[in-house]
Amino acid sequence: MTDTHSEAPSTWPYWSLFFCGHFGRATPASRRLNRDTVLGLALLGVAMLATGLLESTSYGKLLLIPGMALSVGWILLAYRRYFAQLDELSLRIQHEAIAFSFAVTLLLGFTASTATVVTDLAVHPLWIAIAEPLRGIGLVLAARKYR
Amino acid sequence: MTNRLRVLRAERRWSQADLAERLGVSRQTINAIENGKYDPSLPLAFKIGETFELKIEEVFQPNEDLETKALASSSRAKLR
Repeated sequence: MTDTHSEAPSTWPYWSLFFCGHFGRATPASRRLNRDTVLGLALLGVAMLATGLLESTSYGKLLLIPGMALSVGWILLAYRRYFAQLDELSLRIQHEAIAFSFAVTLLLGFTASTATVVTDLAVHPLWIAIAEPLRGIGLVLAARKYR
Repeated sequence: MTNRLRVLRAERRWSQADLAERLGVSRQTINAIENGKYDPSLPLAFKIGETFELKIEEVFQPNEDLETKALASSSRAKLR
């Protein structure tokens, strides 16, 4: 048993939460999530490369659609597996971060849509990817609540 | 909700990590419960009681002000 009076202050792995979306690489579940995310991104990379190579053909560009769906779907499944391994407070932090990301993405999305209508501003269709860094910010904010 | 988790743990000379391991949660979870930042779910609260061989109400107590509010509200309801 450890001395109960010399407890180090409890902190969350903020860097890991912000950049990787998980609670550090100390657990096999986190390592698997990292591996599966890299695999998903590699799949997307291959799809993008293939699309680039086949661009001259009439349906070449369409390859990117299943490629994107498969890679994002794979990463979402990896997160689902990871969430199943978390304890209740960690899961709550993840849920609060998703709620934060959803709300802010909606806010930015509607603002950007309005801006494209009333001004000449062109917004790239991939703006939605901002949801992921926003989730990272949400994770840090939620974890700070439970220090 | 208030709790006696820190006292009960100290009585048994368990660290937060020891208790976390027994309960199958992270040390941060134990820390957040002890500091009153997080109220555990019912299954975890029962598991905590079981671990200390105590009833759930011997570990967790409602906040006094909440209790007072609940009593006041029930008294008002009776008067109506």
